[in-house]
Amino acid sequence: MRNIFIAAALLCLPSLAEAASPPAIAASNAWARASIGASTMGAAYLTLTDNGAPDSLTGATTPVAASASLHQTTTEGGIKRMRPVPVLPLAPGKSVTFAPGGYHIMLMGLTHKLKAGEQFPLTLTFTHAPPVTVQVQVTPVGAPAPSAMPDMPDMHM
Amino acid sequence: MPTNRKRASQTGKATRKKDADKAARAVMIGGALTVFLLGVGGLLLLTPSGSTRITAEQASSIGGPFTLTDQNGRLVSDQNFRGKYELLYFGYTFCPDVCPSTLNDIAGAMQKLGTKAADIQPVFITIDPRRDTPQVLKRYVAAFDPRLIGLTGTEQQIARVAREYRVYYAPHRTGPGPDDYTMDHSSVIYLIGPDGHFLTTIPADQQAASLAADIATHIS
Repeated sequence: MRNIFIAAALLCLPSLAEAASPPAIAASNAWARASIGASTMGAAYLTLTDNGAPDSLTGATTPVAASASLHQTTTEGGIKRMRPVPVLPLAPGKSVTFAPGGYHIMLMGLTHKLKAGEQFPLTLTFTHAPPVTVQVQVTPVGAPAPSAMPDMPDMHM
Repeated sequence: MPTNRKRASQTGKATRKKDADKAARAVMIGGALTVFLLGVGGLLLLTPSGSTRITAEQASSIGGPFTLTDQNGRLVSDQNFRGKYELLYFGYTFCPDVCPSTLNDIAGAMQKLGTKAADIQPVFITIDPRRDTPQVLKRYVAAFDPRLIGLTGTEQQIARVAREYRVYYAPHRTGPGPDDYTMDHSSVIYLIGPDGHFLTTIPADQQAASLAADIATHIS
């Protein structure tokens, strides 16, 4: 009987820990194109879902590049510009999908050529939530954007 | 957005010019308004049917002669492409976001065009000749489609061809190192006829299937 109580208490522990932890941000469908030729720049795409309180993405790191930072490609009069975005607000219950032509994690100074089929870790930092590390799937150059497609319309203005 | 697009397409040239000026100001203000006006501004160049927006007078002034170096180190001039439709896209190989997406879609469109593709020559002209040597271009274009030709040249040669096609490009520094820069650039596909005359621009922001359909409407 006592064992059952202990087991029940142990089962409760994870949920208690969860309840006490800060708001959770989920990162999913992370992908990046394989490196092409001499370029030492890359871009990682993913979907961020805020399952907790209002928060914001403030930074990124990865062992495969000297720097990783949030960038946005904008189009004005047919001209594309990539610019750093210091902070990306995340709203509770909402997802933000990064996709070509919109938001991306810009990888500068790749220390490792990204090869199709590989994965690499990308750690994202937030104002409130603890850092999230996601495995980024490297896709072949010629492959269409895998995860971004269903959410693409809002990226094509 | 579709409603805005429709409205934008119905306005006159003068109104569009005004919209573009307004767009330029609003971009600095930022926010949701920017997103809306960017769409309108983008449509000035990136129109679904291209030809409806470009007057005959404008069309006759787009394009011109060039001599550049291809990915194999050979000198190539605009004359080399006579007899084929040319799909011209300006970009740079260090571009991590937009250029690979567009070239993927061009390569996909070439596949979807099937036998029609035999009459089309896709060409990628770099606006970053400092980094994009023929050797760099060779590996780059091969990654997308064996039919894709990559062209580079001296700063002056690139400046000239960009001017002829009204392509805007400018470096944007990202750090202190010599290679720490990205390029701001026009992202538009140009369709040139077999006689070497400019036919139309084709919006670059479309996926392979719609790009193929768009191209097909302009070739005989």
